[in-house]
Parts: sequence; C-alpha cells; structure tokens
Amino acid sequence: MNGWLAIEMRWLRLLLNATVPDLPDRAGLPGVDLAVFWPELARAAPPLLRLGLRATTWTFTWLPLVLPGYFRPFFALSMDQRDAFLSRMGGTNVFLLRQLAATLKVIACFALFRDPASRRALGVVP
Amino acid sequence: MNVLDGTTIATAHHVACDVAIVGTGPAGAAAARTLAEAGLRVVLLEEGPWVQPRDYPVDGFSSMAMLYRDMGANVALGNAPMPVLQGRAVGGTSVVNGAISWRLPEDVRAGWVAADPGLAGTLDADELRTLFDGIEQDLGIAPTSASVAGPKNLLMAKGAVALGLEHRAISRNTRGCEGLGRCLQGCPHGRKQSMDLTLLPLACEHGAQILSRVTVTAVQTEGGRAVGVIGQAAGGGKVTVQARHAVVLAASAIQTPLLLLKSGIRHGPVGHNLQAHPGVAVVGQFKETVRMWNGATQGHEVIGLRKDGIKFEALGYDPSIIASRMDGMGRAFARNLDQLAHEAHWGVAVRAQGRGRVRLGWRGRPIIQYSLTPRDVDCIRRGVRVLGEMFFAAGAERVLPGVHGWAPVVTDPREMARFETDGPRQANAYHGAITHLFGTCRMATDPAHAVVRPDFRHHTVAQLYIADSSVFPTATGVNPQTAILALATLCARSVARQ
Repeated sequence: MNGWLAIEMRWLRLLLNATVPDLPDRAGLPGVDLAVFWPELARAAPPLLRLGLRATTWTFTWLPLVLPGYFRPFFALSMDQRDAFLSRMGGTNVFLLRQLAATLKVIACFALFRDPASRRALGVVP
Repeated sequence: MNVLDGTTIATAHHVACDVAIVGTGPAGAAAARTLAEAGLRVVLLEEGPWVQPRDYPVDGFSSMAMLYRDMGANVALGNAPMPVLQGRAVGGTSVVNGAISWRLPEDVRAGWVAADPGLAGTLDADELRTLFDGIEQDLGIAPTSASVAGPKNLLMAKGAVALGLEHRAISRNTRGCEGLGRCLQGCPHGRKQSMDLTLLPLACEHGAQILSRVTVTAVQTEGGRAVGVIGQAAGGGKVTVQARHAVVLAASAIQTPLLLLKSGIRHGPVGHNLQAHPGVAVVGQFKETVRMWNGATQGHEVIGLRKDGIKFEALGYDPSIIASRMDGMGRAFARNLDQLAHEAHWGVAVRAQGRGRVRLGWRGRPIIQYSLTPRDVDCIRRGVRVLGEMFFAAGAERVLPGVHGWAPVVTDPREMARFETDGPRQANAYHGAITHLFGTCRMATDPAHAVVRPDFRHHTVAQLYIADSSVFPTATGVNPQTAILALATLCARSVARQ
C-alpha cells in the first residue's frame, strides 16, 4: 500500500489473519497470497477507506496495550486473546470502534474471496 | 461502439459537437440515443472504463475496484454513516445494478405535480406511459422467470404468502437471464440489458462518440451560456469538448451538483435536498442449501407496504459481501463461514424523509452529508421486523437482524415480533447502504427553490441541461432506473426542441 511502513503492513496482515484464522479443518486467510490484492486495493480505495484502514491498524494494534485483561499490543496476544479482543471490538457500544472492526472484516472477506482456492474451499463455484 | 479510451489521450484533445453529455449511465445513454437519432452530433464523456462483459471479474472485490465509484466505499456522513454505491464505467450504474425496473408510480408523479403544477406539462401521465412502454420493449423488461429465480427468491415468495403480504417477481431489464447471480459484478454473459449493451450502441449507430476514462472537471460558459466541457484524460491529456447546441449533465445526483459547484455555477439549491432510499439487510439461515450467489440476483419483491414508504427485495451478491455480514470475529467468524451456503439476505429499502447535501470537498471530491429522521428509523425497524417474520414463515431456523443492541441471532419468532416496538431507535445501530439518490439539482418552476426549470434547462445558464435523478423533486420509493430513462428522454426532447 502506497505510503505505508513495512511494519504497518505486517500489523495489518496480522489483524486480517486473526479476523479469518485457520481452523483445524479449513484454511483461513493466513495462507492466502495477497501480492496482487494490495496494489489493487491501494489503487481503488478512496481516501476515507485508506484512512479508516490505517486507523484500524494502529488502533487495534495498540489499544489492547491499555485494556484490562490484555495489557499487551495485539501482536503479543495469544490466539484466544486475539479472538476475544476482536470480538469485543465488533460488539462494542463505541460506534467508531465498531466501524473499524467492520472495516477490518470487509477487507478480510474481500481478500479471502478474491482467492480462487478459498472460494472453492467454501463451496463457492463460479 | 465508437469509444475512444482516455488512456490513449496523452496530449491536448479537442472535439466539436452539437451536444456534450457528461455521464453514460441510464440518463446519459437515454439522452444520447434520443439526440443522436434526432440528427445531432453527440459526444459523451465517461470517467470510468469501457469493459466487455467477458472481462468482468468474478469476485466482489475486483469488480468493485473496477466498476464502482471509489470501490463502493464512499460514505454518506451523518447519524448513520452509510456507503454510497454507484457504478463508474461506460453504462454507469446500469452495469452493476440489480436490473430492477419500475415505472414511476402514478402516486409519486401526481404528488410532484400537485406540489408544483408547473411540472404538469413535462410530466404528462399519458406521455410517460408511452415512454415506459417503449423502454420496457427496448430493454426486455419482464418479470423474473421462476426457472432462474433460485431458492433465495422463491423463499421470499413463500414467506410473503405465509404472512399475506403482496409480492411479485421483480421485473428486470434482462434477456435470456441464466440466473448466474452476478448482476452486481456485471453480467459476464451480457444478459442484463445495461446501457453499454443497449442504448449507447444505438446512439453510436447514429454518430455519437464516447470518450471513456475522461474526468470532466468543469462546464465552460461564455456570456451566460454553456459552450462545452473540459476534462482530464487518464492518459494525461487535457480534453476540450466544444458544444454548439447544449451541454447535458447526466453524472448522477452526486457528481452533477459537484460538477456545477466546481464550475462556479452555484444558482439555486445546488447540492441541497439530497434524498435517498437507505436500505438494510436481514439474514435468514435455512437448513437447506440456498447458495444466494446463484439464481437471479434480485428476483422477488414484497410491495404491500410501498405506500408506507417500505419495500422489500431479495438480495444477491458475491460471497465476500455475504461473509462480511456474518456474525463474529476470529475463529467464531471463521466457523460461521460454514453457514455461507445456507444464508439468504433480504433487504428493506425506505423512501426516507431524511435530507442531505453534497458539498465540494478536498481535491474536488464530494462530501456527502445525509441523516435519517426518527420516522425513517421507525420504517427501518418495521421493515426488519417484517423481514424477520417472513424468514421464519419461509422456514428459516435462525434470523440475524444485524442490528447493534439486539440479539445477533434470533431463533424465536416472538423475538422478531417485538422488534418493531422494542428495537433500537438510534440510527447508527443499523448498518445500511444507499443506492438511489435524488434531488440535488431539483426541477421546479420557482428559481429560488430549484436548479433547473420544468423543461430541464438550468434556471440561469442557457444551453445547460440536467437529465439525471438529481432533478427529481423527491425520492420515488421504487428503483429509479426506468424513471430516469424516461425523464432523460424528455430532457433530450427539450434539448432538441431549443
């Protein structure tokens, strides 16, 4: 993504992977190659979406550091804690945080279903 | 078709014509066809690309990146921020809409004329009826066949019957629909009769030319007359189109007022009075397989509450969108994806009372402000209740209202029954989208309250016309494509008469 630091991209990828993680019986987003997805997203996304995605990346990476029950950044959380944190964000009464979680989920779904193998695995046959 | 791709225009490019039309969606296409057939030399300018149906992407993300304005991620800001979905391609939104076709309801037309009797001459009921007959014939508009409807549409019929609600197969502009369920990504087999496959080729047969991937940046005026437009080609060249007879704006209720503002044409309530049909989706999960990405994209509707400003439609879109609406995050969400093939999404669209505004923002981008009124939220709440009950009546095991502050999964129909009275009242508890936009360059007799006259001419700039839904006095309460086609044809006739 244009203008993003490499570390920001790693944080975002971690958040996306945690949004649709691998299951014992089905691969999620972690194994999907996003090399084509990123430039397409960077080219098409309007400024507000790019801003929202960046805000999501920073907020969700560092917010757990100050939240009781976590006190660590997102990348240092266990799998269970990541699930719990993201679920909490998805259902929070704070509208803005809920919107950031929704943004993350939409981007994760776009990335997942852009991958033909993932579509087939989920029973989506063109 | 006679299309010049703006990516090939690297240097200054000058074209002279009789009429320059900005936008190639239903309004631009209908106007172009009428004017070209009348013998005028027409040039259309389109910001988006010309894409062949075989090149439409399969997945939702790629199609939105290619064919939607701002990837469908432009947001109307207000008490319930909602994405504004608009196409951006040769053919405009007709390339990516659900092909739903409604005549302008007579009660809506009569309401417009009653509010401003000066519109009676333009909006003659008999003339409109004749126009609608022709449009329906040209675009193959007919009720969706049960053979291609697929489970999601047939289940809606079942639920409506059980609740005693008036319903019907949706009339759509398709020919030979195969039920691929890809209307919103662009029909890859060209079955949807979008403008790029119908009216624009007809216009080109009569000499019209389309400049694609050219962003119009201003309407040029001289001595109080519109004399052309200037634009920027994707290839880097500046495009100048000199229009001897007229400039017609047909760029949508967002882009048309924006272009006027960019051009310094600020007469009247330009950009004000934005009206829309906000919609929200409710999800039903069935034991049987639904595969809502198959079957006619939007093939059934429930119309019993239309006069209360509420309309229901079966929805169909790419699995990426279906999935993003599923409950949970993390492993719970990933596990919920197992239900993907068992879900149906039905939507409620509201003829909202909310009013908004389009302003000129940073780097020429639109700032869209739009808020729901308490009455709009009441309508949405009622709609969610009806949809939930319809799902249960159709045999759904679970309903996912998708409303913050309410149970994410409902298994007891009684819980849906009390949603209308007990459901959340704050607008931002609902996650909706806006697809139909109106009113930002309103047509009326009184110049103080309108941008264009009843004959579509701008009130203060001669030779400037507006043909799209921005001239509609109010929201229509139904899918507006057919009404846009009819009114744009009337606009073109007005241009030809001058």
